[in-house]
Formats: sequence, C-alpha cells, structure tokens
Amino acid sequence: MKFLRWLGFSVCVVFLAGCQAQGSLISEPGGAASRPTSDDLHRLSFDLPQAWGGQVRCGTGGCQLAAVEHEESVVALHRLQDRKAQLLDRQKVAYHPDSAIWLADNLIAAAVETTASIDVFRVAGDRMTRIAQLPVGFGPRDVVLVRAEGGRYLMLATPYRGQDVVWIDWAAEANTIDAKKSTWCEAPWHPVRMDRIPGEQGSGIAAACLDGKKVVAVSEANLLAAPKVLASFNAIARQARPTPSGNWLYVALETGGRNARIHMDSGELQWISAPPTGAVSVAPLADDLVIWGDDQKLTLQRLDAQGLVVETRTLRTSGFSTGLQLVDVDGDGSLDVVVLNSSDKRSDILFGPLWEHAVPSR
Amino acid sequence: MKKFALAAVAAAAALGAGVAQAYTVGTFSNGVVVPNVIHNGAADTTAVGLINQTPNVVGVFWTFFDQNSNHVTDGCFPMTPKDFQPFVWSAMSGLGLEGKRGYLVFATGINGPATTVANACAAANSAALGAGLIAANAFQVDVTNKDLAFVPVIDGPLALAGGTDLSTMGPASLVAVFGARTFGAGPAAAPVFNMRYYIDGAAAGNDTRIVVWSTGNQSGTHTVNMYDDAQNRKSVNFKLSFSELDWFDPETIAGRPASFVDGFIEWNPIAALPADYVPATGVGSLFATGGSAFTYSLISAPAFGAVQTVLGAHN
Repeated sequence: MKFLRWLGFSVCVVFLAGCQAQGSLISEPGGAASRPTSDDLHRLSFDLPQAWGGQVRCGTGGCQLAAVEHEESVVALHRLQDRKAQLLDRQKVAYHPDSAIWLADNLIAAAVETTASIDVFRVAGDRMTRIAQLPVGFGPRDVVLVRAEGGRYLMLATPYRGQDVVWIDWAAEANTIDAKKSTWCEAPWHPVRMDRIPGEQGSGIAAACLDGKKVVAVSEANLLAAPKVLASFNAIARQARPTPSGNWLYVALETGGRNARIHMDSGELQWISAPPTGAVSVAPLADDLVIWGDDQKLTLQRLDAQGLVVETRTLRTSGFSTGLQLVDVDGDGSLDVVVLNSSDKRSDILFGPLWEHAVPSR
Repeated sequence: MKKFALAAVAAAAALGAGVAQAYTVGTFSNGVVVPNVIHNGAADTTAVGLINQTPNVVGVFWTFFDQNSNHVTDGCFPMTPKDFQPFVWSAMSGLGLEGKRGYLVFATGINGPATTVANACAAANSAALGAGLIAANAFQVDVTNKDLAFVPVIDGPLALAGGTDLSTMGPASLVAVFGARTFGAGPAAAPVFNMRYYIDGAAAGNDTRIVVWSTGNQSGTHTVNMYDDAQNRKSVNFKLSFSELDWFDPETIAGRPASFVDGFIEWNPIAALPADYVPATGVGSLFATGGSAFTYSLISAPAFGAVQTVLGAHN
C-alpha cells in the first residue's frame, strides 16, 4: 500500500490520454524541458506507466507493442509508426499483470499475478478481446513462447517468487491446455529461448535466477528435465540474454561491479567490468557489443575476446529500464531498442544505429 | 510547529506505532533496552519513564554503551513496588556526553522481600540479574521546538553472558534481548527485516533514517533487496560502520533507482558475512555469533509536519 494512502490522503491518479498519438523525441519524464543531447534526438518517450513487460511484433502492417501497466492492472496495445507511439487499446485485467507477449499476429498473452493466469487476448481492428484465461498455479512474473504450431502454443510461465515453472501447451481453437510443472531455481524471472546451450544438442531455454543467483537452462529435447546450472554468482542474477549468433549468453548482475557472459559451446564464464550499481537488463547487439540497462540509462560496451571493455557509451532512458528488446521499429535497417521502464510513467524507444547514437563515456 | 531535524537525530525517535509487530514492546521483565539515546543538553534529550511491578524493592542498574557497545557510564537507582521513575538522560549522563550517541540497558539486580531502598543498589545485588518486572517508554524531547517523539523500547527478558556483573557490563555482556528478534548464527534464510523508507531525493524533503541495533557486531557492507511501492526490486548495498548501533540514509544508497521513493528494504543480517568485515574470518560478527536485532525507520514528511517511527517488521 502506498504511503500516502496509509496516511489517509488521496492519491493523484494519472490517466492515459485515450487513443491519441503520444510521445516526443526529446521530452523528459513529466514533460520537463531539457537541453537535448545527441542521444535524446533519437529517443521516443511515450506514456506507458510501470511497464513491467511487453513485446514488439513487426509485420506487414507495421509494428505493435503489447505491454502491461503493472499498477494500473492493464494490458495495453500501441501502434509504433513514423517514430510515434499511438495507444490503440487498454484492457483491464486482475491486479498486477507482469508481462505480455505476442503468440501470433493476432494473439497476445499476459501474465497476471492475482489470477495466477495467462490471459489471452485476440486482436482485431486495433482492439483486444480476452478469449481465454489459462491457469498457471502461481503468480506468474513472465511468460515466453517456446513453440507455435498449427494453432497450438507452448508457453513457459515463470514465478514472481518461488522455484516452480509451468509449461503450458494451449490449443487455441479447442481452448484446452496441458500444463506441466517443474522445479528450477528461486525466482527465474525472465526465461529466454536459446539456439544452443553448452553440452546439449539443439536449442533450449535459459533463465537467470534472481534469488537463486545462478543461470540455468534446459534442452528443448527434454523440457521437463532438471535444469542444468550454467553459472553461479554471489550477486542477484537479474536477466540473461543471448547474442544474435547464439555464441554467448550475457548475464546482468545487480551488484558486485561486474556482469558476465557464458560461452554456449565451451561453457566458459567471462567477467565483464561494470559499475558497482550493476545492471538489471541486457540486450546483446553482437558477440562483442552489449547493452546493459539500469536506472535512467543504458550502457553500451564493446568488448575484446577476453571480455575486457574496449569502449563504453551511454544512452539516456526515462526510468528504471528493466526490459529491453532489439527490433527495427522504424524500418530503416538499423536495430532500435525498446526500453520498458518498470517503475516510472514513460517508456522509450531509442532509434539506431545505437552505438553511433550513444554518447561516449569520459 | 517545527519538528525534529533528522540530520540532528536519527536519534529523534518517534512512536513505536501500535500496529501488530512481532517485537515485544510494553511488557514487564527483568530489563529493557533503549536502543538509540542521545542528548545535546537538557533541551534536547532522551527521556525514559520506567514502571516497576516487582512485588518488592528492586535495584535498577543502568549502563550507557556507545555505538560500538563500549561501556561509557553506569549507575543504579531503587524502585519500590508500583513505582514510576523518570530517567532524563541529560541529567543522568554526567559531563562530556553531549552529542554522544549510544544505547541504554536497564536491568534489575538481585532482589527479594528483604531488599530496601537503602540496599537495593548494593554491590552484592549487581552480581547477576534478579527476578524483576519493569517496563519503560522513552521519548526524544525537544524543548526548544516544544516537540517530542517516542523512542521504541525493547523489552526483555535480557540474557547476559555468564558471570556478568550489572555494574561492569561490557561489549560482550548482553547476549540477547528477547523483545527484539533473536536468532542463531548464520548463514540462515531468516530473519528478514523489512525496513520502511519514504524519501524524495531532495534535501529537507521527505527523509528517512533507518536505525539498526543488535547485540552482535553488525558492521560492514550488507547487500539487500530494495523494493518500491509497486513490487519493483533492486539489489543494493548499505554500510554500517558501528558495531551494534548505527543508522543509514536510504536516500544515499548507490544504485537506488530514482523512482524508488516509497517502499522497504529487505535485510537478513545473517544471510552472509559482510565481505568487508574485519577480521575476514568473521570472529565476533553478528553473523558468527547470532544474537538479537531490532530496526526501525524514522520518517520525516514535511507535508505532514511530523517525524514518525515505523518498526521494522520481520519474520
């Protein structure tokens, strides 16, 4: 409960402004004007409060962002076009939705804590309609799509707290599910699909375990197997993401002054110098070029083969940047980064080329 | 009315709010601890009020420890049954302790039906804890600003090291205080304290000081999870420089997201030995010895014109 409520005072509630194009390329949170820097000129900030999770999907009709507004208990749909964000629809769900993903061009799945469910929405004509509520058995923090075939969707849901994960095989037309639970590690918040994992054949799923302080993975050949520990740490392991080549899995660590990467063939662990305040998200651009997320900034590091930092640059964001997705939103051929800020009112899209737009660190 | 300046007092403790807490506050036992005591003269001092429900006269031996639990000064006063005893720190401390922060332990000495006001504080009665029933409340009194605030008092029973004389208590004498959260040596998953903060990142705005008291050496850098008011979390560090009584300002924690202005910090004092603890073997640490710990937050919100104390909840 918020402090102000506790003292019996009313709280100012901020309402989003309907289906209007919103955001500006150089505005600051709260609308305060500031002198733009080079990275500001390539940043779109738009209203999306407490964006705990979401995903952009681009197709022939352009790009759309499905995201949750955690404190508003809302799943929101935005159109991203011409470097602007347009809110198309907002749908209420139960208290504390934590993430949202696309299952298909017209299907969105949202992880909702209070109902311990994955709520599925059909998108038609810029509107969302909930068509299913898939029970998870715990308050889910995240959901990822593992496989989509013939109207069946295999998803993995992970917990806000606890060690259990659930594999959900949902048949959309019949609306039937087959759910299987397995035990991973404490708080494996943000799983990610991998092309390969060390010592296993084929692809798999990996996750950083916050309170377990490790990174684990399972092979897609046996999803219910006990996960393999790829690395253990003495700090909170917040998020792990692979490079586009699949060669490395980068790991954001919250304290300790270093992050890490794990080689997906040899299993080698390399430490990467970081600020003592750590990182809470990561998005590798290449084997030797990585973006780390933290409060109000992204840090870009170019590394050598040993993981030593060759050069560092930064990009500003509008909040606590816990979710990053690399995607070419504006269709100019350069990757952009969609930044979800989980404890602030606005989220960002930083347009590429990202390294070139970033500000060199002194 | 002008309120306490937090910069002057992590000391300026306020009400141990009447919400449900697992700490024991407001009961009678063989002693109490006032965990945060300071004075800057008679106009700004901690004041304690004690009640005796022991069925006979009892000698109450008190000791003032500094923040590292070094014995600074002590004394004794008798209390008759149903007696109330005011204890104004500025009047009792003696000279030279202005601005010296520390904590007070009140303990009942050996007593019985034959104990009198004249002999209650005799040397023989300080040789050990006696059966006693005292309780206390405390305030920080600011005469200049015509203000006061409650200081939480930790109830006993007290557990003392063997052979402890109440008149010569030292850093290792107080082993546990059962009105605080008591636990064994680490590593262990519990206890976890939830310490409230309410800040705004601005000077003289919404401010919080988190007071931490324990019977063991808690010094060092502690890694904790900091939560906002919307379940967001971030792992951060805070440092305690003094061994048994210290405070920190959550506003200054490096790596705190700027939007984390209202929430709580989860702290497990025995999850791990602080990496910078000296000696590195952990000898003497709270982690190695276990003991008792107690936390509370002092929250100043100018919009509401008051400093309040919020006890640190724990499992």
